[in-house]
Amino acid sequence: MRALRLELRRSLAPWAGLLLVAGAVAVLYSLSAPWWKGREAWDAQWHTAAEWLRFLLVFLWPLTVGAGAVAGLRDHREGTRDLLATTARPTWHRGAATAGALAICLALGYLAVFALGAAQAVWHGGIFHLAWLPTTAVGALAVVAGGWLGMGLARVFPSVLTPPLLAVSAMVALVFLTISQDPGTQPEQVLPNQVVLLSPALWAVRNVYATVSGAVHLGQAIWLTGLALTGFWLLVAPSARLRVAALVPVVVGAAVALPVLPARTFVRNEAVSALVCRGPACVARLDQSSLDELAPAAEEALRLLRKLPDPPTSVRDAAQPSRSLHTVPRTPDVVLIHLTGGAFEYFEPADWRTELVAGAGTPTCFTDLDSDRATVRETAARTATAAWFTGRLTDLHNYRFLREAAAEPARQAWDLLRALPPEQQLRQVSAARAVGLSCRGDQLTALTGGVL
Amino acid sequence: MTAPTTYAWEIEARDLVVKVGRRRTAVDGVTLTMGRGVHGLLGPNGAGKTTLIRALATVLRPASGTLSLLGDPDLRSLRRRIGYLPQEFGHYRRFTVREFVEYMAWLKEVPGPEIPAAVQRAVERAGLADRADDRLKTLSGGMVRRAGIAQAIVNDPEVLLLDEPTAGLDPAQRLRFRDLLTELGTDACVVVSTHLVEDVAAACTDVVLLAEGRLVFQGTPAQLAAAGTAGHAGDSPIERGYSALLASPRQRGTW
Repeated sequence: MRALRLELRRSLAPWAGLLLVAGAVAVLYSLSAPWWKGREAWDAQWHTAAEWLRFLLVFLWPLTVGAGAVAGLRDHREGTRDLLATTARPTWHRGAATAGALAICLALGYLAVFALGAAQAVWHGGIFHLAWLPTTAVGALAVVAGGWLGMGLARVFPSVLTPPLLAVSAMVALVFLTISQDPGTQPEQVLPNQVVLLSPALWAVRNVYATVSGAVHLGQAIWLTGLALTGFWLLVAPSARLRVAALVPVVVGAAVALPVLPARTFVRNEAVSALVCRGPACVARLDQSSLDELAPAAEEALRLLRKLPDPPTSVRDAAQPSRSLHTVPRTPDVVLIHLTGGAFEYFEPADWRTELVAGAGTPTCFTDLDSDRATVRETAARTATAAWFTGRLTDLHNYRFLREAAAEPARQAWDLLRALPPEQQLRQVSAARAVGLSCRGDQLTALTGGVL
Repeated sequence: MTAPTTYAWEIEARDLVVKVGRRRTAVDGVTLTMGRGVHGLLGPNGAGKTTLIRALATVLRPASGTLSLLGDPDLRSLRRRIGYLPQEFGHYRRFTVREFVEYMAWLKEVPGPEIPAAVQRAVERAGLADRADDRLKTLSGGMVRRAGIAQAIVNDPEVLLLDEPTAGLDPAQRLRFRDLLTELGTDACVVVSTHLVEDVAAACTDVVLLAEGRLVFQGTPAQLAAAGTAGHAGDSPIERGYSALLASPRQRGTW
């Protein structure tokens, strides 16, 4: 304890901790970046704060490795080798004090930055649940492992070039592994997800309803513990032979962790996405506050939809980011909606009814990535079906170019539909609904009986 | 305070050979014994003084021959009983004097409750009490040297090894240091390597003269002085004795 106290007061460890905090705060607050945007913002929820901080490890982890290396060069820099070599206490006692102080300061720095995000999440009404805990614990373990690895390697390669070289190498490796996690790069084609997860940095937070799976935490904790032990061993190993043996923990850690790590990093976050219902309207717990406005609109819309032969009986939020809405299974009894990032976010609640009956109670089958022509035709059909239920043709919320391109075919479809006998109208609206439920075929063709 | 003595000499070396690196033999077959008292280790540059002290301090292992320190075969318990000031006194510049001496006391496994008093005593004996809470990087060279002496004596060593302890000390400090040496030598075996022959004359009970890794002379300062004649170089009898003993054909170089 005596030596630990001295190290905490006089070594570079507190500066390493401060560097971590300063680096994180500088990156977080000096840039207008994804971590400030939308529902996934780093200050919105406890778990998004934890996950964004893990993303920032792309920059922070190399920083801790470099800082650890600078601290590890102390004996070389100060020329204390002879003096310390003649003392009675085993080397690992001394190493434990030095490495312990660094670990304490780095972990505290990491937790301090998380606390900053968590405090804002509380302020912004984020839901408290424990998904942040393992994410943050593994992050804290990662900075400790990084610091110790830097320290150990600096002891083995005592040169002023060691800290910058280590930091740059770590940065290159992490950027490569992190980019490989981008869903757009199709990770399985670059590297297996298990290998990618050896990086302590997570990919950017894209889905507030998801969280990191337990298997990821477990595997990363095992791997990072191995890495930390190797760093510590390198720091205290007195001979070249024992330094080679220091590779054992990291190799064993990787060998145990790789089978544990899963192919998918994120899983559904039950704590925030569990459904909360009022009347026929159900939303994720995270969006509970929107029920006040959604419930009346849902009741009204379901009443209108009762004209259908197989009318839906409830309205349910998909609790998914819009990008993945088409992966949610569709059933006739449920009007599947997407509360965030779309019409419900940008329209007034008064207009929600129109949105709910569009496509005869079915959501769009397309994402931003799909072809414009198909999307325009679907938008026109959805606009016309909405008008069929509400009795008034109004634009749906959408990109302006889609609204403008769909306006004319929507009007034509609406006119064509109104001209038909009532039973035929219902048959064609039902056909359009069937397309909306299965996402097979063309809704506008179905709605107009093949005229458009 | 100390365990009953089970050895004849604090330091006993027989045919001691110590290598620096793989090739260079810096100490070449030295046989000597040292007991309590102050032993001055003299010799020209490159004579092997520092290498001998590093071997005594357990930094270097003998390549051959035997070296027995305090009759203790266990390295860890032996090291608790040794004090060492290296020629290049590496220290943590961000620590205060007191903190660094405390840290060294911890490394020397001085029992925890005794550390604060031991540190205070060592700092006072080294004459640094008024600067004890200053950081080492703020001290002058002479004061850093005294901090080095303080850390060497903090564990009340039975064998105290000081490599060039007076380098950087001003004349007044050197005089005080000689008094400290005399005091330390009453109940410990103190080995002082130095260039300054007058330090040896003033404070040492015994002189060891090395040249090219070999023992040239071991005896009292008076015996060393007696070896010289008026014809030998030097300002004092002991300097002339030193010159006389080193003036062998094996000496090379101009100075």
